[in-house]
Parts: sequence; structure tokens; C-alpha cells
Amino acid sequence: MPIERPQPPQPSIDVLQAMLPALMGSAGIRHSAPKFAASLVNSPRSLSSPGLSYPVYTLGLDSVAAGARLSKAKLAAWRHEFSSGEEVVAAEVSAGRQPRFNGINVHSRFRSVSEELRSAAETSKGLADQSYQPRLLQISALGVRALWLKSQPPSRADVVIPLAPTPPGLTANRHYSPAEFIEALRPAAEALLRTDAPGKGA
Amino acid sequence: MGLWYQNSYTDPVYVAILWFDSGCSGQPWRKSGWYQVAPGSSVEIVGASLKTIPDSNFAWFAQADWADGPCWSGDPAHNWYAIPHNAAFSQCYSDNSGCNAAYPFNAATLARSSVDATVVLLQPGVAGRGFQGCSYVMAGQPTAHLLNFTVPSQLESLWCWAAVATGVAHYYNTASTVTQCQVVNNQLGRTDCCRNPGSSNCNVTGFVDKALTFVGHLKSEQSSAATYSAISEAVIAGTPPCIRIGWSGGGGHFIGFFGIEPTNLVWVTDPIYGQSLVSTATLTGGTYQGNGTWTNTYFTQ
Repeated sequence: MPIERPQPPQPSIDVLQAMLPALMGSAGIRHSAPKFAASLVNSPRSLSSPGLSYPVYTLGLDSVAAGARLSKAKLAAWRHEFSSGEEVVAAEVSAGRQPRFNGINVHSRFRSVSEELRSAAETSKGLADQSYQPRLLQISALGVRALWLKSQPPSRADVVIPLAPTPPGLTANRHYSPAEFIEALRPAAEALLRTDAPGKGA
Repeated sequence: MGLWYQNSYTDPVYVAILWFDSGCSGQPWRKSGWYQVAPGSSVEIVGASLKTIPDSNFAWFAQADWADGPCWSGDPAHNWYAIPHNAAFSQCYSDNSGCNAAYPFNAATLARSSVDATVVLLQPGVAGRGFQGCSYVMAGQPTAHLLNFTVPSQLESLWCWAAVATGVAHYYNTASTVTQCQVVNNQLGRTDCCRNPGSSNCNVTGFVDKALTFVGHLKSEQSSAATYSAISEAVIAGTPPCIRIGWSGGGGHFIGFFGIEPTNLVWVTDPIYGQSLVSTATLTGGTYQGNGTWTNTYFTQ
């Protein structure tokens, strides 16, 4: 299954590079991600060359409960991943006309998206003839993350692969069609909306 | 206000200083230590306005790890090494009782333009090679402060509120044995959520203010975001605040703050997404984890 490497927009990279002084001076990054911190000092331009960049799309709980199509998902950000051995850092820049630095994750509890894509490519023999562009789909209200493999050309079917950990109703690493994926999450979204209240969380 | 040390090195650091004391006969200097500074943290060593102190000269010694670790002089000839690092001391310079003979290394003079100054410790020197180590003094209070506070992964898909309350309880009392399912049992008035955590009766949404009250650490709350300075104040005081994120389209989530950095950057600990450095504009502007907005603030004690 050929997976195309997404090309991040240059303004997103520029915003990231502009954060170099703050990231180099960050005591927390030196502490939590020492290899990444050292790479910034030794090679300041490395911030402009992430190992992988990918777009992050989001879908609200109301859309899932309404059975919306994935085309309703919004491009929220571009995430730029830097890996050095076990250490994975993901910097996020908001999408849109005026991108801004959202944050940088230094201690994820998940496997890197690069690893997930490698794993998906190795285990997706049935999709060998098809080319895809990867996106990360987040339904944050349900704590759901999934690889959204956008078919290239777009006329073919997309594939959605939920990433572990998954909530009840979804199976990690299984291949879903977009409609199956939304349908699998719909009961959980409906239940959560029924009990939603100001000051409550999950 | 006063003199701070900020540890921007990767290991714990121990600091000792020589500070003016007119009450010390002979040489008017007092030596004191050891001030332990965790990685990413800061410690206020002298609590006084630096504009009005009687003598702006002082000297200091800092060493990573224990007595065999690298130091900010690089030179083992300086006998601060001989002073046990696990014992506090405060005595006049010429008093060497308790084996506390000191020969300070780093002499410095404070500018009197600011009530606060911070010595930022970067890379220590190479052991055995003198006049080494990288540090600088800046006016003002520390620019970064990290607490040893972590919200654990939530054990069920809807238990962020229990995870945050448990993390807070363990932060304030490392001997605490409270667990997420115990918090859930208490809040739901049940007894079966440790045996059947994933059941539809137990894996439910909740209120972190009530959970924090149960573990005894809610100080105050507000139904809005707080300012960066309010969060900084709480973090520097060692009292990590927690917040609620409201998702666009419905639903909410709880996370905690464990650190601050300059220019409106804060460290968050999230029971789903782990540790991130985020700008406060991300939290208030609706783009945390794509579509989350800071809606409530919970100060702890």
C-alpha cells in the first residue's frame, strides 16, 4: 500500500522555525526530550525538516451523533513529528490563513504516527494497488484517534484505521470504511451528548 | 522577591552560597546550603529585595547529583565537595565545625536594578578541569518552573476526572494510595467500580471539582479560564491548577498544569495525550487537541 508523504505548507514550517528560540530555551524540553533539545542546538535548521508532517482533522461529537460524513471533518492543524530512538516529539501548528504555534507534545502515551503508518503499510496487503495520503482524524470528545487514509485519486474508497487505545465499539488497527467508522462511534457519541453538562468531563 | 536558582540542566542540582551577614565576626559572610533544585525547577534562596541588601557581592557553588557529580566550577579542589549534600547547614564562613569548611568558587555581584535575580544553571563543567560550567544571571524571577506532577493515564475511556483527582492526590501526598476506581466509587456511591471498571454503570463522565473535594485538594474554582500570571503564581507556589477543556460539538475533558515557561507557554499533563508545552492562546482560542477550549479552572491546595 503506497502511502504518499504529505507536503506541509511552508507557512506552517515557518511558524515552527520562529519558535526556535523559545524551544531552545525551554527547561522542560531539555528535561523531557533531551535528544530533541540537543538537535536544536547542534542543528537549528532541523526544526524545518520534520521526520513526518501530517494534517490533523477533527470531528465534533454532534457530527458523529448525527451520522455525518467524514467530509464534515475540519482541517485543524499540521503536526510535525521528530523521532530519535524512543523519543518522539510532535509540534503542532494551527491550519488556516494565519497559522500559529499550538504546542509541542514531548511525552505521548501513543505510538508515533510514523510507526503507525509503517505498521499499516506492512499489514495492508489487500490495499497493495491503491495509493493513499495519510491524515490523522481526531474525535477528541471520545478520545479517538485514527489514521484516515485518503484515497489517491479521490474517486476510490478511503480507509479509516483506529489507533490504540480505542473506546468500546471500535477495534484498533481494523480497517473501516468511513461510514462504518462513524456508525461504530455513533452510540457512544449519542450517549455522551445525553449526559453532557457544564463542568463535566470524560 | 530575592535570589533564585533555576535548574535548566537534566539532573538534580545542589546549591550552596556565601551571603553577607554582618553578624558574623571576622569575615562578615554566612555560608549555607544545600538547596536542592529539581530539573526544570527553581528555588528561592534569599528572600529579600536585592535593591536594598547591604552588600551586593556573593559567591556560590552548584553540583549536579551528589558529591561525585559534575559541578559549575569543574574543579574538585574547591572543598564545598567535602560538605555532605544531604544535610542543611548555615553558619559563619570562618566556622568550620561539622566539616563545613568552604572555599567558594563562583563570585558574583548583583546589579541593584531589580528586586529579583535568577541564576540559570545550564551545563556543568568537566570534572577536574577548573573554570568550567555554563550559567548566567538574569534580572527578575525564574522564567521556567516545572513541578513533579503527572496526571496518570485514565484507566477507562470516560475517567479523566478520576485520573486528574488521583494525580493531584499523589502529588500532594506521595504516600497516598487512592486509585481512580476508588474516586469513581465514591462519586457514584457504588462499590463495584474496581471490579467492573468498564461497565456502563462505572465508566461514566464526572465532575473534577467534586473528585478534587473528595481527595481533599480543591482550593477554589472558576467557570472561566485564568490568566497566565494566575497560573504562574499557582505553579511557582507548588500548587498545580487543573482545567476543563470543552470540545466544540459537545463533551469535555480535564487536564492539569505542571509547569510554566516564558511568553505565555504552559506545560500540561493530560490523562489521554501525555505532556505538552502549549501556548495559552491555544487553550483559550479553541484549538487544544484540534477543537478544545479552556472553560473552567480548578485551583488546588
